[in-house]
Amino acid sequence: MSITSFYFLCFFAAVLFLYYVIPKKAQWGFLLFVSLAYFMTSTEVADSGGWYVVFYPLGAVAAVYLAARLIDRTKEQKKRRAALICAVIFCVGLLCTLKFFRLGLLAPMGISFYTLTLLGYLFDVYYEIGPVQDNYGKLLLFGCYFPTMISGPIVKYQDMKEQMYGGHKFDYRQVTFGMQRMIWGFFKKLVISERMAVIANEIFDNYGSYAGFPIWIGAVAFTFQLYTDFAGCMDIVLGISQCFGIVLPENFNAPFLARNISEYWRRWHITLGTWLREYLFYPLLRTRFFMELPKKLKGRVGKKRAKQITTFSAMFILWFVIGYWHGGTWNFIIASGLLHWFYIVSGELMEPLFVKWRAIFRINVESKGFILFQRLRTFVLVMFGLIFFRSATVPDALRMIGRGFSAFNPQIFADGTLFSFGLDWIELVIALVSLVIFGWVTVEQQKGWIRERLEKKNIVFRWAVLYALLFYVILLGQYGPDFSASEFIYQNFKV
Amino acid sequence: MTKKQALKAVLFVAGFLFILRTVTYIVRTSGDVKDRFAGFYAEEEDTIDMIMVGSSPVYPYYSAPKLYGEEGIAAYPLSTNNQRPKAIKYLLKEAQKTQDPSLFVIEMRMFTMPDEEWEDTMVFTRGVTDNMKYSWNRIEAINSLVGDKSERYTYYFDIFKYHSNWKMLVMPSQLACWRYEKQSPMKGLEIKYGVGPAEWTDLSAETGALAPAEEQLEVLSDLLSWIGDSGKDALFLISPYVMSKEDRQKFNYIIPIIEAAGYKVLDLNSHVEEMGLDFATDFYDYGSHVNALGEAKCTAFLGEYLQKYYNLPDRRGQKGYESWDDAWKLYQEEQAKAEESCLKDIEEENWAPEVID
Repeated sequence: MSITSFYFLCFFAAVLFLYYVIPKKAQWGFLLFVSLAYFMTSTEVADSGGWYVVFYPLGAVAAVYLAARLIDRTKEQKKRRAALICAVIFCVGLLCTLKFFRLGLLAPMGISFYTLTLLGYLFDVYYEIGPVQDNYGKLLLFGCYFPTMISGPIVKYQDMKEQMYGGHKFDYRQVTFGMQRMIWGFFKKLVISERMAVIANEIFDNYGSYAGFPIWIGAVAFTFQLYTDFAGCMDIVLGISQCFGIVLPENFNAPFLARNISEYWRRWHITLGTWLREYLFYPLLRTRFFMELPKKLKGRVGKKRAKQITTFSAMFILWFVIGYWHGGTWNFIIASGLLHWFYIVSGELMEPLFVKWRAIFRINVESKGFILFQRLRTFVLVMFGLIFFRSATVPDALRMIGRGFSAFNPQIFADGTLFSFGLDWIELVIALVSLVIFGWVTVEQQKGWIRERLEKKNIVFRWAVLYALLFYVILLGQYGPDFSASEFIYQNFKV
Repeated sequence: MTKKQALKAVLFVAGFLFILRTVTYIVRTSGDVKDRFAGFYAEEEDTIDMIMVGSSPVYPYYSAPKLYGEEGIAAYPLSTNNQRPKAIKYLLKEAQKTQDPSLFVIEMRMFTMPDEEWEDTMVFTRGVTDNMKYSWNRIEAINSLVGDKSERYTYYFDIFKYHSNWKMLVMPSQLACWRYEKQSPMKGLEIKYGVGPAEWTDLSAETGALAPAEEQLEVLSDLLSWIGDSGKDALFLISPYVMSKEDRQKFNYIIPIIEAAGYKVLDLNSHVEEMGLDFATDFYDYGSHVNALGEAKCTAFLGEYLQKYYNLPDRRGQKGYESWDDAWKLYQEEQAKAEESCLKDIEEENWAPEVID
């Protein structure tokens, strides 16, 4: 049951109604029931009849639950560590077996998300920075809360426990804000992403027939497709959760406003970045190997370089894992991993040179022009990575990039070629106007939440804006019997 | 939730539903069927005395303006392509919401075909459901016509189907349909040009009977019982066409059932010579449907038959029928053009292109 489907909206409406009519104490239990029911109706289970997959999350939560309790109750470090390692091996083993080793077993919805969420909780208990949950059912809800099962975000137990188990009185403002956010998510997914997909699919699937600018148009289209798809999904998910009074962490913060790749990753898939930084990168740097590496290298390359090499080596592992996690094949490892590692490392190594150039050319780094240049540069670098992401194989991506540089044909912007990529002129205009609206809102959003600003306007204006957005999505969205709207891209990756 | 918030929520949802309904009516695909139904809804209340339902052998065969102009009968066709017999009851119910007809005329060709042939062809079902105004009756029609429950929501909320027609929101002709009420200048008639000659086979000697599909017999039985309960009179009609022996036998099976229920059956195939219908000149698609020449003959015969057997009021000159006078005038002009064109085609042996099913 896709979250953009009519049946999901009916399901959500019914759940929301019941959630607020039952006693507050029963709300978390109800959400658990609903989450498991949603899990059982997921496409994977419904299509295959593989109801047994429900035992995967039940098992993973049981392992983490028992390990966390053991860790919490014993002071003996060996036992604590053993419990931690056993649970991690169990959960990661299950994830790898079902997702990456492709043994023909059915992988349940959201396995990567709930695995990371549960492991984060376990690490916090182990490092004594987070409390333990003694109720298995409550931990199960934390791991399998249905909005987060679709595509995340990856949540932290400390942020969720009060919200999830505390009970909520109906809050008109929260519910309306949640619904408004859902509409915004539908706008991104159904109006923009689905249109961008038409162009991207045409050019990526037939890149051999194109050269020069069409290749870059396809790459830009896919960049926007992926972003509006994933961010749209997050808006819907966060909106759903907000309706239940549970505020989930943001996963995006205008990534295309980033001035460099490091900043981009602080704005894109934020909860994944945070998780990997806290539970993989920092612990990695604290291992004996990485603690001793600078000392070993200091004599040969100097203190500064030794530190850099150590950090870059740990980052290499981090980025490899990020890339591998996105799909387990080399195009993903390059697209979302190693290419970005290369960008960051080369950026840091060349920073002294950049500083010199900026001084020579007297560039004001805070000028609007320079900021725009940096943002465009970051966008282009990300776009190159996404060519690998969307291509079937690495050689395909390289050939496609090669074809992009093989011709200079700006005339395609004037001779009507633009309308041959699957969207006629009016559809293209809709796509561009929608992107402009989206861009404007994104920039405005940096000054504060639009919904809160809208709330202060009079009711006529407010309702006019909401109706306009609603019917913009209803009329211009690509859905219904004549369309086959794709699943969310990140939902398919199960990351 | 405070009372004020609840009121605001209710008003917002009501506003949403109102706009949704309006927008849907506008973006529903334009065409003859939409014009016919919007035209029906635009008719003044309680002005129509006879409702004609059925498939494509209705709207090109029987001219409502001619029936009015020559016999004074106010009739309207609620007909759609390949109209499934299951839909008839709901259309008649729909008609009675705004009109008080004393006679239902039911064209029967579709009863010879099994319903399953049409169930999967969405467009024929939508021809009915997506041209009705939103109502409980429409929901019942959808429940009856759409077997796949998981698909029904796209019929209940047909914006799912038609939202991509958003460009129609700037077309004045479609904006006028915002309430699904827009006068049909010729009262639902579709005049057919072109000539496709056919050869008539007289099957009047065929007395054998063959049962149609069981489900169609059930539909017929339900329909007869519903008409009986409604207290209205009904005339079952078989329009002339190049009939197969099998169809003849199916009609032979059905006719006694209808007559036993107390309703008349007018089989125009048995009156072809009397009507002066010429299969070589009066059809546009080689024997399936009549052109303007055939329509004039079928309508004239039906009009006389109605005068003879039914006591329908003469509405000519009455207040509230001004649009019917206009329709009659327009019909005469358009019909003359169409007949002239058909005669020219016959003279030049310029036959219509074959229609491939």
